[in-house]
Amino acid sequence: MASLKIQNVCKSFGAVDVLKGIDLEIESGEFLVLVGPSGCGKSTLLNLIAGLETVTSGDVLIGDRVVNAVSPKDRDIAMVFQSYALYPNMNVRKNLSFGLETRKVAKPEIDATIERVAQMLQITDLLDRKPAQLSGGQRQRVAMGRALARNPKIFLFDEPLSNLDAKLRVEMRTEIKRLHQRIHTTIVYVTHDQIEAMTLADRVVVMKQGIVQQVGTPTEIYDTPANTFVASFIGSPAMNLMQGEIEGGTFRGTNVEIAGLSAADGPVTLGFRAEDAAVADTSADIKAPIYTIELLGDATMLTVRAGGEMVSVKAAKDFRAEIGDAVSISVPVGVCHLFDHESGERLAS
Amino acid sequence: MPEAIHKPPSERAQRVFIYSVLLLFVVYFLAPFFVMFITSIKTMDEIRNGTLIALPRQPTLEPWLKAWGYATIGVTNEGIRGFFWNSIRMVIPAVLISTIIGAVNGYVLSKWRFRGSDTFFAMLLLGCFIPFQVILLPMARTLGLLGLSESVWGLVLVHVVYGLAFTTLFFRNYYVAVPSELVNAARIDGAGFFRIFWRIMLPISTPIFMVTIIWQTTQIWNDFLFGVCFSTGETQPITVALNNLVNTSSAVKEYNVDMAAAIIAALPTLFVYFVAGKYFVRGLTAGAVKG
Amino acid sequence: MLETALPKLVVAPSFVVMIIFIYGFILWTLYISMTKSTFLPTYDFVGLVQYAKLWRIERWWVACRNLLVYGGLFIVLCTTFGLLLAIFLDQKIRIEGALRTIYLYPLALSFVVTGTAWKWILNPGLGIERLVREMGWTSFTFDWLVTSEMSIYCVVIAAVWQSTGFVMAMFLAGLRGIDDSIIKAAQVDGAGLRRIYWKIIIPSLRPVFFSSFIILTHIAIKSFDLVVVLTRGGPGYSSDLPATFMYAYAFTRGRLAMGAASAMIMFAMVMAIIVPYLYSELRRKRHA
Repeated sequence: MASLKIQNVCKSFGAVDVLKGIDLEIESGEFLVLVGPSGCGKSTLLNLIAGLETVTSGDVLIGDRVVNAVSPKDRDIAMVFQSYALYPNMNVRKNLSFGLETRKVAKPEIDATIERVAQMLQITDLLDRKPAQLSGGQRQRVAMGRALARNPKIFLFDEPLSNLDAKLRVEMRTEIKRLHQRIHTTIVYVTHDQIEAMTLADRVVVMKQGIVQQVGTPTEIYDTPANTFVASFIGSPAMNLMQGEIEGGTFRGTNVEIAGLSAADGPVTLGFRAEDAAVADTSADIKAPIYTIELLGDATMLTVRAGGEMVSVKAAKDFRAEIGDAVSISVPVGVCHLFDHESGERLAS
Repeated sequence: MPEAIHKPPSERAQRVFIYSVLLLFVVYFLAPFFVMFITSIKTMDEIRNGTLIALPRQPTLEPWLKAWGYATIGVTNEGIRGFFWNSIRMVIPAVLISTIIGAVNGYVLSKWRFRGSDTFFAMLLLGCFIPFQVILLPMARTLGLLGLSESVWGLVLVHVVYGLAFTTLFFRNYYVAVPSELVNAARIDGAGFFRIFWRIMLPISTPIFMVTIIWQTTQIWNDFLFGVCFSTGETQPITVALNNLVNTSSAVKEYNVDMAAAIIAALPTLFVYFVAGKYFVRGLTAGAVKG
Repeated sequence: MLETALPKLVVAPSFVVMIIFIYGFILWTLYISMTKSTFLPTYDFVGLVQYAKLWRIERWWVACRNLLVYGGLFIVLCTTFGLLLAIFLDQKIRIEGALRTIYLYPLALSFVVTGTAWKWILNPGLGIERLVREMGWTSFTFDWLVTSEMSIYCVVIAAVWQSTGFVMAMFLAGLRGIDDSIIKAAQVDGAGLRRIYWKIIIPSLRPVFFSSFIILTHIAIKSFDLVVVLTRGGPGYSSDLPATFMYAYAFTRGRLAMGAASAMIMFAMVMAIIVPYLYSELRRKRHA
């Protein structure tokens, strides 16, 4: 177990700046998830931590040691890859022991470790098979086993679940969470799936175009997004964002009028989450014809046009209406998030 | 296509036409070898009095024995057997060395790329295409200086040097398709440059080794240009000896011996082709669609 | 930092070999071509004199003209037959594997073997000529091999025999790579089989045409063994190609500088075709 520090790290490939000054501190034993759309630099950052790429400037520290020039094999890390990267010519047992053999661990110890790891991941029956004979889920387990066998200071996961089908993904997600609760090793986990980020992380790092947008616990990220990018990236459906003007504490836009806000006059972006609003008879913060209506089973999702955007609202599961019917929606002041209309940054409330 | 039970007559005619054309080409491709073979087991009398495609009335192995053991080639009367062994002694080391170096080069150029490695590869690629005439004179001079112009080792050197571009190309293109994550995983597992090559890459390289070895064997065995330029007398490879046999201006042309010698010269590569044709064809197309 | 240096160290010998034995030697040949070297290389620089002389030699003109005739016919015939065989083989032929094996076996042979076989078959005394006469056409003559104007065509016959299978293999791979749904769409649109081939399949094989053209041209320019064995460039020098010309001047007639000049011209011919090809290939790969 070790802590990890990233200090003002930049990385360029030729003329392309992939990471633009990243600062992060990861505590020993923490489960940190890097999330962002593809091309945001999250995988590059992971490779820098692993030592598979070298930083252009800045420092990576494992424990208190600067490891910029240390090769991957001397960093005491283990990594699980998206494609699993199991050695195709070796059976599962060999895959698990390869890293230990290279490190000249004694044979009995290797056998004991494999036994332990195989039991932990329930792959004991698969030890003599080749990777080609395994299913996707089994390969995933073996890949994790290979990392676990090494008992490293830090685990790195590079989108480990994205090659699995939806059902298996949920299953493995819980398994990874359980694993962390058991071994408590520092984990850095990269994903583009915000649900994975929310469910797994102690802390989430949201990245975009090589810049960290926000670092925080899943609750912080969800409840107080630092800007409109985070607001729209985290959560499903994304946070509703409407354009309008504030005048004397009242937000006005097309089909929308929300009073009682404490903010300066001027143009602003107002956000709220679908589940925080409700269909109402009396109050009418938003009044618009229904654009779409979807039955989700546990709720009914409506969308209307307001503030120049599509806005979705979660209604009761027995709510029924026709497309085009006028609907009134209440948006309590307490659930509204205000963002700068140009920079998208959160406005202090 | 659903199999119709009663095909319309036009379609049947079309099938007949297609098969006829295909079989016509079979005749075109097989005829020369057939003629070579029957000629090689005829006596000269029969050759003079018969036609190309007449089957031998009294098949004889004599031309084969003569071609192998005592036909006059250049100044010796010992047939082509010595030259056959020359070719073998040349092919085996040249193929092995060029293949091994090519494998390591391909591994570096695909999985350990560095600044300038792409330029190196492009230059090497261009080297696959140069007409060898453009290096013959300096090479002859260099072999002379190295004291290798009279030995099989000179030809080994030449074939290794000019085979490297191809072997590197083959391995590089094969290894490019191997996911880099595999190498990264091994690096994190603590394996270094050679260990990754040995434990991860080599075990999955059997097909490309087959392709490369077969390609190189065929190329080097069949080479004539280097053989005729860089060897003399008793160190010549079999292709050069065959040409000398066929193109002597001696009084009596023994076509049956010529044909037997030609078949002997062709046997090793034909054997390789029929045993490992799959890899042979793959090498052809890999060598063709370069880059 | 052994780890970062090691890959470079490992390829360094190959790099040095390549620089010396390919690029250095080309420059060396270029230099020899600008001297008055005869039997031994001398290093007295005389500029482009040899090139000017070369183009005044009748034999060089014959070699270049032959290359045009031979190369042109070789490419056209190999492409036509290769494409035809590939399309026919692609019609769900039951014995396809066996046929492919037969069409391709000449590629395993040395040009010296091919030349020996055809030299015998085309031989005017006992070869095809005799065969046809025995069959009753007593006035039939087929003496191309020993006729100055025709001997180069003998080389074409043998070369086409050897290389057609290769072109077929390339076209067959191309045909197998075409998306089936395109053909189905055309059938649904009501196009007949012949029309589908002319309008859709053959045009989509354009890259294969292109690469086989490049490779065949390359083979043609480098052709040497076949001519030596089949005709020895003769009668006289009527079937010479640049490659045999170069060999004759550099190795048997002791005109090193002239041989080097002709080699440089061959080099230029190949580069004129290959460099644009490789450039476009590498660019396409990068953008793919």
